[in-house]
Amino acid sequence: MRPDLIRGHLDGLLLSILSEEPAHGYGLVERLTELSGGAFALPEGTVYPALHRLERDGLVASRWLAGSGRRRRVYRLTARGRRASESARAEWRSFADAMARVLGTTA
Amino acid sequence: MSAIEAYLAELRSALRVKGRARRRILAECAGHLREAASGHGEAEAVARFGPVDKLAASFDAELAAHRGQRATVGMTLALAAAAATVLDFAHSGRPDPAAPHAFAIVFGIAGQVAAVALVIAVVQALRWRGTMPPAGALVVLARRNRVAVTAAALTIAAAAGTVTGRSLAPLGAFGALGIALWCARRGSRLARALPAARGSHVESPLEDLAVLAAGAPVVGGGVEWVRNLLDPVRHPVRTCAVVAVFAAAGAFARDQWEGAATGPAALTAGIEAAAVIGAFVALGPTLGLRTRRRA
Repeated sequence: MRPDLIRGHLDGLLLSILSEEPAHGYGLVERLTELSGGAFALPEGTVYPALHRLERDGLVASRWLAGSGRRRRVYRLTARGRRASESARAEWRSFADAMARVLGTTA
Repeated sequence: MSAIEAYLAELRSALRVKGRARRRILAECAGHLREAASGHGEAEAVARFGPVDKLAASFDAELAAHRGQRATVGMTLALAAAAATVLDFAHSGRPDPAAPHAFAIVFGIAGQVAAVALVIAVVQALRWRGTMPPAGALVVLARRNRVAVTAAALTIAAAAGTVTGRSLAPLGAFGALGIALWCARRGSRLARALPAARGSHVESPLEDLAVLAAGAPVVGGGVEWVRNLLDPVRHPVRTCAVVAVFAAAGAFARDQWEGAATGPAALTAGIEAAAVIGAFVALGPTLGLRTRRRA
């Protein structure tokens, strides 16, 4: 799938994955690949500018944690991020339904 | 040097971000690459991570956007404090009869330029809040902040030269101006390092307002109506002419209300109109209101 199709929705995708449980950047990329069945193949580094922006906007919080002999920056949703994630899901469902009606496909 | 070390060295060189943010970026990227390498090998991990130049540009742009918006907020508060101090001083002091008339003209014109630059910067910052603006918009915001601070400095200096009186107000105004200047410099440093900084960019204030008013149909409709008639980006000559006429009319009416004779009031109106046109021609490209005409 073309990376430019995903880029505009990356924030929503990251918030959605973090709504399951906290994760570090590599874990987010792995989960995104797993859930999308490999369809979302963005350059892995692109998640970090997005995560930093989400953190500056107060939607996620992060801290360094040590584990498995490595130091990782782990991200979690804030209360505001949780609301943003739910809002993004609702917006996407509405968009997908409208696209399906126009394109004549079932969702 | 391993593939990961070479990648990180290239990223370190390409990043314009400095300080703690830079250290964090490099540490996170290093951790990710080493984790990925344990499963796929270093070459594959580096290939999957993405091109260095694009990634560095994304990090720089993201931080530039954040700092630009924060700078606009800080500047607005500082310049509002400076303006309140200057107005208080202007009302409590006495006009200096020996002061050149040019000081009063600079006070009036620079003050309006500062106000316009600041308002359109605030509207732009609000429009892009919570989203990632294009690089051109970051550059325009930085320029608007710098124009606002520079014009405010001229206004305060002109006020200090025009009014006499015993007061610490000018010191307070310059102090607030110093804070605004620090905010503007911090907000613009990264934006000026972006590749887009060298080009000409436009950002219509009315388009920003239309985006902000999108949730309010009546207001949004009104903004679109005005925009179709008067938008400095779409209709530069018409917009400049209309604003100049209104500004001149306002200056004339104000002077008449203050008891000035028709002749001097008309002269003030003429100066006001010339100032609007001159500012639009000279500062329009810098403020992102029109493109720079190529020779």
